[in-house]
Parts: sequence; structure tokens; C-alpha cells
Amino acid sequence: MTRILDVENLVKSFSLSGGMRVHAVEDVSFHVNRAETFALVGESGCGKTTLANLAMRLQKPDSGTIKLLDTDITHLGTKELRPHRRHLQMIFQDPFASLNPRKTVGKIVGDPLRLNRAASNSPDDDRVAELFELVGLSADDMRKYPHQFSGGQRQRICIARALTLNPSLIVADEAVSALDVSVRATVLNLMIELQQEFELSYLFVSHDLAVVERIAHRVAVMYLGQIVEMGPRRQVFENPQHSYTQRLMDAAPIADPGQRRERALIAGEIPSPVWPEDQGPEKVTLNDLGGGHLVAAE
Amino acid sequence: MSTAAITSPGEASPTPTVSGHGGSPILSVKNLSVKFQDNIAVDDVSFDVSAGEVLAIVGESGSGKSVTSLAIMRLVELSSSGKVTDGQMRFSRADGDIIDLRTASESTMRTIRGNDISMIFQEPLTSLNPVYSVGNQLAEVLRVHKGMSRREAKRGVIELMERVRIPEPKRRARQYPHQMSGGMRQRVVIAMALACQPKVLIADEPTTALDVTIQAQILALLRELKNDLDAGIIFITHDMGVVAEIADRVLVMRKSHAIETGSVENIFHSPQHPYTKKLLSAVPKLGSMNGTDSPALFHLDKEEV
Repeated sequence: MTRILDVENLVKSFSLSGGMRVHAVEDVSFHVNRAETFALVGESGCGKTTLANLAMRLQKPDSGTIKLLDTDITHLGTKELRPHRRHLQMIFQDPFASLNPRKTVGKIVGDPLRLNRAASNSPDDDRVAELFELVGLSADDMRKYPHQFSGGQRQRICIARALTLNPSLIVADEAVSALDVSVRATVLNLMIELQQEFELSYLFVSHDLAVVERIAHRVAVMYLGQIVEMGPRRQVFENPQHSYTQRLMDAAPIADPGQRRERALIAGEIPSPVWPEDQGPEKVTLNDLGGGHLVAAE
Repeated sequence: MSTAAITSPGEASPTPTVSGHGGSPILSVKNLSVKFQDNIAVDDVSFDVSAGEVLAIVGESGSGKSVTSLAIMRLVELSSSGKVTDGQMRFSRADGDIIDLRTASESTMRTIRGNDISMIFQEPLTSLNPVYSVGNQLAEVLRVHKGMSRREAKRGVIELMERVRIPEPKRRARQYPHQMSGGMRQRVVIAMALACQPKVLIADEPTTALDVTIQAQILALLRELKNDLDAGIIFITHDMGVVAEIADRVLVMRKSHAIETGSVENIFHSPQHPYTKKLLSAVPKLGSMNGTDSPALFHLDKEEV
């Protein structure tokens, strides 16, 4: 299987006032295969968004390597990075904040073509029209402005923009979390269909286990900046081994009143990833249970 | 625009109201309509809430679910353009009086809000005062609503905090809202809402901003308190997973209309209205993919929205 993204031993921490440090990402390694959805799940503050941003090279890691299609992009400068960026696109959570209100959506979707002139010689408008139809919008919509669309339509426009340069990997950070239930399902369907058609890979960041179960091939569970369990979705969901994965699965609501569970009334909270400068979390070692299912030793 | 007919299995009354499980309802809303200027936000909605039950009002954004709850508290009129234009909201007070919340005077409403009907919201931080300790704020509720002395209130605060399972209540009482996590803040807000032993608790997306593990704790807490207080809970949410976890009965809203109402089992297992069916077909059910390796498309029920 071709590896599109290969991340090894990534570390990222942020310093706070008072000699404290947030250990956002601690020695994390994973890879994403071609035509595969790799999901990062975890609760707020676990480092999943920082990890996605590192993989996109939107932030620079303290150490570790990021390989995109066999090129080490960890230390590339802005200019050197540009030709590689087209392989790597992003969809964000809020489709209202991620579209420029003063541009027509046709211009928004066509901008990547203009910025990467070398990428295509065909007339922009034809490609943009093709993209609009691909994501279930009409080519006539190109002249409209973002405010004329609903949330779900805007997320489709964001997907069209991400597809403009035929990327290999799309990073989707909580991309469907802000959408209404019925709209969310249609956008997820679109993402699955596009993946099959173009052999796209997704790095899918989400807190929603039920959505991840639906779309992911492989899953990594993050806790306090580290991956505590990783493997094929089927293994991780049907046979969770790490105590945190089990806690997460147990807490996730199931949309079936027949499966309602009695729960203990514990008031536990997740410990803080903030440490004094000279200290840090213990390194976890991942044990291989076979079939690519890795679990942190506890 | 479809009609606002309510389909409820086994109950085809011409004036569709589904009452709670036995007993007379604490709150009975009939034909409620709310307008903001010329926009109809709630159109002819009826439902009952009885003691000890959770009625979930579910719907997508703009369906009118939150406005319905604001109408019960008569808070829609706070925005100058909002008005309850039709209907009845009969509420049974603890002393046996039955009053129509729609026509009650503002001074009567002031004795009901917080005392008889309490409300909690999605973002606990906006419900708390940032410059007072949480203990201080809880004590104020006890002094104002229950007439407690300072000393009694101080003891009452610790009891309340223990009741909503806040660990180390003495230390926590001295903390300010910004020093607490979202889950702890929501516990404080729930404690505040419970201080007066309300007959009805309205919870508007109370767990939407919380992480799943914290959400599970808050849902368990609400379920326990419902039984202790014998209060009726109106739980407003867009999340069908949460509905399945907590509701006894469900009212589905869409575009300001009540679409379908029934027991939580009936709504999930034999939905009648095409919109309810479509909504449920779009909800991923954890565990439904067991035995498969690959992603799967949602088989969406076709229904024009």
C-alpha cells in the first residue's frame, strides 16, 4: 500500500507563563495510506488538532519528521513547500468562517488554479464548473456569494475548493461537526463517494465516535498528546484494549433507546497536559496486538 | 410547505396532545404559536410534561425548539419583536394553583422563573458571573429564593455541590467560574437550577459543549435528579444519541411545527412521519458497523425538506 503521509516521532509543546509548558503532541507516529480514511479521535485538549496542523505544516514541530509522498517536508521553507502543498488540502469546521464573503464562490473554488498556474492548462471556468457538479451543486451557482448558501452547501464549496488541485490527502478537522444531522449525513456520503472515485486519503479529526465509525478505515485514539490505541477501525471499535478507549466508547451515546446503559456517577476529569519546564509526561510504548492494532502499555 | 399534522401511533385524536405517563401533567402546552415580527417561529405546538419524566424536544437548527422553551418562561417578549400569539400554557404550581403562563402577569412570572421552572443552557460560562466565586453565587440563590440566612446558605451550598457530585465542595466553592472545567461549571449551573426544587427543569442543549465522557456524567446526573425531585424535564437537543440516552418521550420539531410525538421507543423503532424517518436514517448508530471493515454510505430516506 502506498503511504501518502508518514509522520514519525512528532513532538510539539507550547510554553506558558510561569515556567510551565503544554505538551500538546508527545512523540506521535502514524501514517495514512492511499484511498484510506485515518481518523484521529479524542476529547478537547488531547492534541488532535495540533497534530493535524503539524501534518499540514501549518505549525512547525519541535522534533520528528513528516513525509508527504516520500518527500521529507519537515524542514522545507515556505517557497520550497509550495509545490508540495497542492497534494495537501484542508476542510475546516466552520463553513461560515472559511469562505471569503467578498468573493464569488466560483472565484473561491478557482483560486487554487490561479495560484498554481503550472498545475493546469485548461480554462479555469470549465474546471470550476466540473467541481461544482462533482460536489452536488450547479455550475450556475458559481456567480453567487457565500452568504447565499446554507451551511451544508458551503461545506460542499469548501470540499470543491479542496479538490481543485487533485490533492492526495485532505485534512478534515471536525469538518462535519457544525452541520445539522441530515446535512452531515449527505456531506459524509459525498466524502465517501469522492474517496472511491479519486482514491483520496483523509486525515479525519473528530470527537464523534459514531461518525468516525462510519467513515474511517483506521483510527488513532489520542489522550494527553499521545496515541494510546491505533489500528483498523473494526478492531479498535469492536475490541478496544486501552482503558481510555474503553471509557470513551462507554460514554458515547448510542442512538437506540434499547441500548441505554446505566452509568456510574463518577466526576472524573482528564488530567492536564501542562507540566513544569523540567518535567513532562511519561513516554508510552505501543505494543502490537497483530493486524496493525497497537495499544499503549498501562 | 407540509401540514402540521402530528402523527402519533395509536392515538389519532383531532386535537393532538400526547400526555405523559399517567398522572396529570405539571405543564400542559396547547396550540402554542410564537412570532418574531412577521416570522412564525412556533406554529400550533402542543405537549404535556408530567412529574418524573423527560420530554425531549428535538429538531435541526431553526426548527423552533429553543423558542418553544423561551416561550414557556415568557422570555421571547424580552426581544421587542417576539410575541406569543396564540395558545395556552397551563402550569400547576406547588400550592395547587393552575395558571396560564401566557397570560400571567410579569410579577407572577418573576415568582415562577427560577422557583417553579428553572432553566439551564448550553454554555455554563454565560450563566455564571465571572467576578463572584461559585459558592457566593449559589449562596445568593438560596438567600433570595429560599430566604436562608448567610450561615444557612453556606451550609446549603456545600450540600448542593455534593448533590451534583462536585468533588471537594469546600475548596471548589471558593473558586471562580474561569477556574473550573466546562463539566464542573455545568454542574454548578445545575446546582443553581435545583436550589429551589423546581417542578419543571428546562435544559437547552446542556451537554452540547461538553466532551463525551463529561456528557455521560451530566446525563446520568440529570436522570438521578429527575427521580429525586420528581420534576419534569424538558430536554432540548439536536443530538439523537443523547435523546436515546435520556428521554422518556420525544417531540420532533421541524420548521416551527410539531411533526411527531411519542415514547422514545416508538420514535426510534417505529417512526411514522417521513421527516422523522429521514432524520433517523441520517443518524450514525455506534456499533452498527460491527463486522465490517470499510466505510459505509448512509441510506437516506428521501424526503424533500
